[in-house]
This record gives sequence, structure tokens and C-alpha cells, in this order.
Amino acid sequence: MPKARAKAPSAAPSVPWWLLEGDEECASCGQLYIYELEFRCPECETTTCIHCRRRRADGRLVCVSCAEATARGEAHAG
Amino acid sequence: MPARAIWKGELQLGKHNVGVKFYSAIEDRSVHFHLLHDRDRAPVEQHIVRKDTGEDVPKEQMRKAFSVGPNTAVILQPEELQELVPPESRDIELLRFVPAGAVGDQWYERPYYLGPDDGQADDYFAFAEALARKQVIGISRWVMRKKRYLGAISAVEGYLVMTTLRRAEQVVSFSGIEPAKSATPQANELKLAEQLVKSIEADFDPQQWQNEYRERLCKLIEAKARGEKIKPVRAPKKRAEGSLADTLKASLAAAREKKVA
Amino acid sequence: MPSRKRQRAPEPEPEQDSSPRVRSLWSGTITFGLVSIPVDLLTAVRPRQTAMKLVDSEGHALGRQYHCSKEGKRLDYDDLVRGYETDDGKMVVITDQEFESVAPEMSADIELRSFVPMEQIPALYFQKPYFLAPAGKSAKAYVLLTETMARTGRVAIGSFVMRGHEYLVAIVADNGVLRLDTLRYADEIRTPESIGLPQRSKVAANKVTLFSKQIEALTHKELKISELEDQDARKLQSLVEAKQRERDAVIHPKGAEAAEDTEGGEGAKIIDLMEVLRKSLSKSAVARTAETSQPIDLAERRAQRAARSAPAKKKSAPARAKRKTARKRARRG
Repeated sequence: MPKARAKAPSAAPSVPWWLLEGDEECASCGQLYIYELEFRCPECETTTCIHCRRRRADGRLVCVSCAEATARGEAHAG
Repeated sequence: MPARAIWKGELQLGKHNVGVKFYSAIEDRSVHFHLLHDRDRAPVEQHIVRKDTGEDVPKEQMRKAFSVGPNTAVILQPEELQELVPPESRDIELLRFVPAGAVGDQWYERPYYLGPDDGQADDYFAFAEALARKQVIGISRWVMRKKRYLGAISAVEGYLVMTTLRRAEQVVSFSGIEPAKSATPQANELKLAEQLVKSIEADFDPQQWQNEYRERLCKLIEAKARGEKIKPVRAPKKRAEGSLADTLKASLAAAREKKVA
Repeated sequence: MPSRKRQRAPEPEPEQDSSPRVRSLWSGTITFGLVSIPVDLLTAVRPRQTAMKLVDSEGHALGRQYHCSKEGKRLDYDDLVRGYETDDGKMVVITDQEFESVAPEMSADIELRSFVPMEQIPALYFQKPYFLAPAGKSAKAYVLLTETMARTGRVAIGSFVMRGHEYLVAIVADNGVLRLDTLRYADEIRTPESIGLPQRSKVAANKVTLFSKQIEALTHKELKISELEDQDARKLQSLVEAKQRERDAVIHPKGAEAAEDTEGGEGAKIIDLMEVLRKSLSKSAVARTAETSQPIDLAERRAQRAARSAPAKKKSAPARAKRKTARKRARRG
């Protein structure tokens, strides 16, 4: 039986996993991000990369369009 | 605190439409990190730049391009992409009903609880009851916030659940696997392995499983916030092993011991 | 953890063709009693066929760069750390070494803790599917586990840590291959009560009958795959086809991603996947998507790719080439 294997993937990337580009396309900036770092807006279910979340005045993290809608005084609902 | 609905739609059931509200069935409990600059702990910002020059590009100059060959892409103008946005609608179209087992779990993406819209409770619970009796799920399509969705509607303990599905192009399966002779287990090995499975058979009890890593990570963050020193821990070394049959026998003996204890 | 040389964020790199190598997300060991089965975890979902590149109005490839929000200056990968916010608004930085020590054993092993009937796992729990391929010389133990699960009709429950998350998993025997489905934890799933849905009211029998009839009229034994196709992708592709005839619309983006734009694209992954299983398990393994139902022809796809990447220049320095491959993998996910 083979011995225990190291955790590192066989094709070890030169950047840590949390800086990899991924397969998911950010709905806000259009850049790719990795699945494990997806941000899902609790207001509207939009999925974005971690750069495209915004902290609203009430402390909640939301997506860019919900943050902008709040700033304009609208609810991004329904 | 009751959850807020994220969307309202209407299940199209012949002449009878049932108004429903969507609620996320998932509670996000992951601990999210922020990207920081090592030296000053300031948040990191993302700039969208030209790859060749590193120059910042303003939003109004950004375009989407679809790749069609090596080093070849088709640039699409915002107004052209706008035309692809599906028209807004509250309709949830039910395409067909299939036995629940017809959809493999690889298709399931994200579940939503549906609740009755105002005044729709009678129809809502009647439809859920009918779905449960027929033991089927409904393949559905709808447009929510300018995006097309595909889903399967089912009854879960009297309530309606809509789970979004992956697209046919995304789901991958294998067939034609006939392992080489050297990889084919012997009859006695199969028998032992089956006994080993039986020794740890159980019912699926989700409450039994806790996210230990999440708890440990939260403790680590709290400890660090208090200024405590963290000792690194090493992974335990692996033991050596004998033949497959011997290892299975030893496993069975260990499993029996555990049961007695 | 070995120290890594991190590179600068996106920079133009010359084109180079990629050999079909496996991009494994995680490598570790399944422990079944005292039996160890080394495996590689591979993605079992193809990305949607709607992905687009970001370019500027003149067709130059765009990418991301990291900047410090305080100093405004550009940052290297080496300057970036992961921070967590405490309840009182403090930022705590956790180093890679500290992450490693949170749960070292969980990062290396998937211990099979129990075997349960598949139908007992509610659909609400399923998150994402992956394939497990035997690594090293583990094919026999791998086949043993697969056959045993198929014979007993049970799936294995375990957990492991990957990319900073612990996943509850179901390992399923699927046509001779082990599939790993990540599951949600019970506390991640809401209930009708926690959402605040109304109590179930008495249902009128005539309404149930009416809905039952409508359901019956639309009931079929099987799925119709054409109903499950990606309509967005279809519409996008027909727009692209029409635009391809316009001279101005066709661009040749210069930059780091030019070479990888299409050469097999996401399809390359499936070829990789099939190759891995062909090498490690069975020469007869065939991969297909639900959409085509036609097997993805390995030789044909490889020839297509060779033809496409032919004009690409190869880099001579092996170290450079190796790095590029890693980066390319990095970019794809």
C-alpha cells in the first residue's frame, strides 16, 4: 500500500489556492473566481467574487447592485 | 426572525396558477475572510487593468468577448448583450413531472423553500399534497432578476421546495469501466469488505455531523484576537500496511472491538 | 507546508500549448477501516458555456490587479494575507501555517464513518459533485470499495477539509467510479419554521384531485434532456455566430490568456478526467455529458486541440514552461 500522500495537489500551482482564478464568473466585475470563495448576496442571491461585496450602513455585506440600490433609497427586491 | 422572501412567482398549473414566494433554504455559516495588505492590514482593492500595459480601464470602456478560436474572440457590445436578457416575468413554467429518482443528485445546485403568496395557502398546500402523493418532481423554468433558471420542484414534509438544476452541458458521467485484472478484487476480499461495510452501517442522521473545522477556526481567530500564541500542530504519521485481505481482517476485528466497548 | 514562491499578479505571458494534464483539486487518502486508498479529487461539473473574457473597447485583454486601499499602491501576491473580522470589528490575520494546523488530519484523510442507504439523504443536502480517481497503486482497493458499495446499495459518509472548508461528503459508487458529493451540514439548512412559513392548513380534497390530474397529464418516466439545456448559452452562441461574419467584431486579444482561450477550453478538463481514469483504472472508461449522451471522443478532441495550438509558439526554457503550466492551471481554477 502506498504511504500517506502530501496534501498539495499534483500540479502544484505557484499561487495559494485562495488567489487562484476559477471557473465561476463574477456577476459584478466579470472576472473569474474560485467556487470556494463565492459570495452570495443575502438580499438577491447574486453570486460574486469577494471583491464585489460591499458593507452597507446596517453592517450587512451585500452585492454591489444591492448596495447601490440602498444608497439610492430603493429596495432591490421582488 | 422570519426570513425575507427573495422573489415572488406564479406556478403555471393549467388554469390554476399558484402564487409563491422564494426563500433561500440555505443559511450561510462559513467564516469569510477579507484580503488584506500584509504590512498595514488595510483591505485590498481589485483594479481591472489592461494586461499588456497594466493601465486602469474605466467601466464604460469594458466589453465582453466570447472566444471562438485560438487567440480569436468576438467582441460583443453592451446593447447586443442587453438583447439577450430574458424578458421579466413572474411565470414559473412546469415542463414535465418525473419520478423523483429520475434526477441524479449531480444535477442539484441550490434549494429554495417556497411559501404561499398572500391568499394562496389553500392551493399551495393542495399542490404540495398532490406532488407528494404522486411521488414526482416537476421540472421548471423561470426568469428571476433577469436570469434564466432551471429547477425541480418537490414536496418536502408538506412544503414546496424548488431546487435549481445544473445545465445538461455541465453534468458529466462515466461508463465502460472494466478494471484491469490486476485491479480486480478476489472473492474473499469482497466478502471481507462487505462485512466491514455491514459493521458500520447506519441510517443517515444529519444532526450527528458537526462542522468541527469551523469551530476550531473560530476558536483560533478568537485566540489570536486576544493575543495568544498559536502552536503549530503536525499531521499524525501513517502506519504501514500489509496485504489487502489482512488489512480488511484487522479492520473487522477493530470494528468488532469498538462495538463491544 | 513548503514555502512557495508567489508571483506577481497578472502579467502578459507568451503563448504555449498545454499538455492534457490533470488538474486535481485535492489529493488525499480514503480510509476504509484500516485500508488506505490514495485518491485525487477531480471536478465533475463543467463550467457553464457562457463564460466570456473581459476586454476593452479596442479588444485588449483585461485582468485584475490588487491594490492597497490605504496606500493605493499595487501589491504582489506576497503582500496579501487572509484576515477575519471579529465581532468588535478587529481584523485578525491567520497565516497559512496556522490554517494548516487547524485540522491537519482532516486535510489529508477522508475517513468513511458510516454506510447509509442513498435514498435517505434528502436532495436539500447535496452541494457539488466531484470524481475520485485512484492515485498511485490504489486501483485494487479502489475497485474493492466501489464494488462493495454497489453490492450493498449503500453510500459512505465521511468528512474532510479542502480549501479552508470542512465538507460532509457522501461517496457514491457510480458506474464503477467513485463520486464524491459534498453535502451541507444540518445547521446550514433552514426549516419551514425557521423561515416563518405558515402552518400547514387543511387541504380540500377536490383541490388535491384537481392538481393530481394536472400532474398526471404532464408526467413522464424520464427527463427530456433538451429541456435541461443551457438556453443562455444557445442564445449567446447564435449571436456570436452572426457576429463572426462582421469584420470589426472579430478580435485577437494580445496578452496572457490568448493561448488558453479555446484550446480545448473547458472541454480539456473532461479529456483530462477521462485520461486520468483510463490510466489509473480502466482503459475502457468513457466520459460524456448529459447533453450529448455521445461519448466525448478522446482522439478526436486531441487532434482538434493539436490543430488549434499548432500556430502557438513553444517556450524553450523548461522552468519557464513549467511555471506557465501551473499558472494556466491556476487560472482555470
